[in-house]
Amino acid sequence: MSSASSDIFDAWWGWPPPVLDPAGPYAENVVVLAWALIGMGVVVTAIVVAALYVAIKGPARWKAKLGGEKAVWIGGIALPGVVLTTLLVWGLTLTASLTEPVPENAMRVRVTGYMWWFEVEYLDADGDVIIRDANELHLPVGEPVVVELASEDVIHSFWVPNLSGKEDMIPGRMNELVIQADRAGRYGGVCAEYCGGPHALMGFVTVAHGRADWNAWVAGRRGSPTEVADQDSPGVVPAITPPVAQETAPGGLSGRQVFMDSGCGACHRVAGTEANGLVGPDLTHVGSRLTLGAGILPNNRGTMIGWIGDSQSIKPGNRMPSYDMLSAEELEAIAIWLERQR
Amino acid sequence: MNVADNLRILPATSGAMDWFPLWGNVNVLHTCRSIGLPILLIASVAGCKQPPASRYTPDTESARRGRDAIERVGCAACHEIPGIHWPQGRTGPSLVGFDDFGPIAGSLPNTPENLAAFVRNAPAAKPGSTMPAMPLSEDEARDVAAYLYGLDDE
Repeated sequence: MSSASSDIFDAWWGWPPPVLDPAGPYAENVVVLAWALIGMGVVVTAIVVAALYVAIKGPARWKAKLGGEKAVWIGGIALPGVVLTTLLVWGLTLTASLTEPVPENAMRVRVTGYMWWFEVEYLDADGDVIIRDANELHLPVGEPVVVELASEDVIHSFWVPNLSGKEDMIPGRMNELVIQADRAGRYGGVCAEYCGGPHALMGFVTVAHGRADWNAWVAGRRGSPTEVADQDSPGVVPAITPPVAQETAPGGLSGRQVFMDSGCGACHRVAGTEANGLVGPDLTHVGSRLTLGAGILPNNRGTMIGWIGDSQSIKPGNRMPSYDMLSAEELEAIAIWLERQR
Repeated sequence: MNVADNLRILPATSGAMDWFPLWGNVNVLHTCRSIGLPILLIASVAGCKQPPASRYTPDTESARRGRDAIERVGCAACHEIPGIHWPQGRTGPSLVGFDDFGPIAGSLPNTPENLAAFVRNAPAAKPGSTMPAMPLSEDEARDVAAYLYGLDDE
C-alpha cells in the first residue's frame, strides 16, 4: 500500500502535507525547532525513566543520592531552568524571522478563511485586488510572499507545512505570515484550527512556479477571463481531457443558462457574466483549478457533477446545498460550462 | 504484545477518524517510522496511527492499482464504492453488489472488458449515459475494472 500511496501523493495535490519536509527558509526554521524539541523530549524522557529505574531497582547508595537535597537542586531546579531558558531564547530567535518585517516590495496575497474554504486575493502595490481566486495559492519560486490572513466568520488557521509555520485567521483582525518556496511544486495546506463540522475537509493547494511559468500564470489570470461563452463556442479546451470528452451538453442544454436559472450566481461569481455572488468561491477560473470542494477532490467533469449534485454527501455540513433537484442532463451541462471557465 | 498492538486497541485511536482521508494515507507514518520507536510512541499519542485496514483487500496487483486510480480521479464523489472510506457520493448509483447481478448501467453485459470500457468512456460504451468520460488511461481503466469486479460483498 505504501508505494502505491506515494504514487498518488506525487500525482495528486499534496495531501497529506508532509510536516517535516521544508521547502523554504521559513519552514526550515520551524522544522529545526521541531526536531530540537522532539530531541529534548526524548532526552528528558530517557533521564526520567533512568531515574525511575534507579529509584525502584537501583543500589541503595544511588537511591540515597537520588533522594538527596543536592539531586533536587541540580536535577530538579538548575538543570530544567538552564535547559528550558536556553531552549526558549533560542526558539524565539529562530522563529523571530517568521514575523520579521519583510521587504516593502514583496508580493502580497490576502487569504480569507470561510466556513469551509479559503478565498485568495492577489494584491498590487496599492493593496487593490488584482486577481481573485479560491482554495489555491500560486507563488513564484525563491521569493518571500506576505500572506495577509483574515477570517470572515470563525477562527481558522492557515498552514502550509512545507512553507512555514501556522498562523491563525481571526475575524476582525489581520495577521501576516511570510512564506517562501525554494523549489517549484505543489504543496498541500490545511486549516489547522478546528472551525466546525467540515473543518477536516478544508484544504487548499499551493503551487510554486518557476519564473517564466509564474509570469505566464499571472498574465493569464490578469487578462480578461478566457472565453466564458456557452458550450457551442469553438476552440475551448476542457480542464482535464478525458479520452473522448463530450463537448456539448446533452439535449442541447445551455450550462450557462442552467447555472443562472438555478440561482448559482447568488453565491458564486463568474467574471463576465451576471453571476456576481461573493458568498461562495469565485468560479471565474474554476476550470483550471486542481481541486474541488476546497482541496479535497480532483477536478474533473465527474467530480464536478458529483459535487454540484450532492455536495452534502461529500462534505457534510458545507454551505452549498445539494442540487439534487437538477436532472442528470442539467448537472452535466453546468459541469461542461464550468470546466471552460479557465 | 508489542507497542503497535497496544496502540491499535486504544479506543481513542480506532474508528473515530476512519472516514477522514488524511489518516488513510501513510506519509505521516513514514516520518514516524524513520525516526524510531520512541518517537513513534510519542507521535502516536499526538495523532499518528496505523491506517485502518480495509475490509476489502484487493487480491491482485491490478486491483490494488485500480483502487488507487479510483481515489485519484474521485469516482467516489458520485458512487458509494466498497473499500473506499470517503467520500461516498450519492449522485450516481451505489456500486455495492453491482458485480453480482444485472448488466452494467442497465444495458451492457456484465464482463470486465465492458466494465473497463465503461469506466473510461461511459458515453461511448453506452450512448446516453449520464456518467462522463473519466481521465483514465486504458491500463488504468482495466485496473479499475479489476478492482470493481473483484469486490466481494459480505
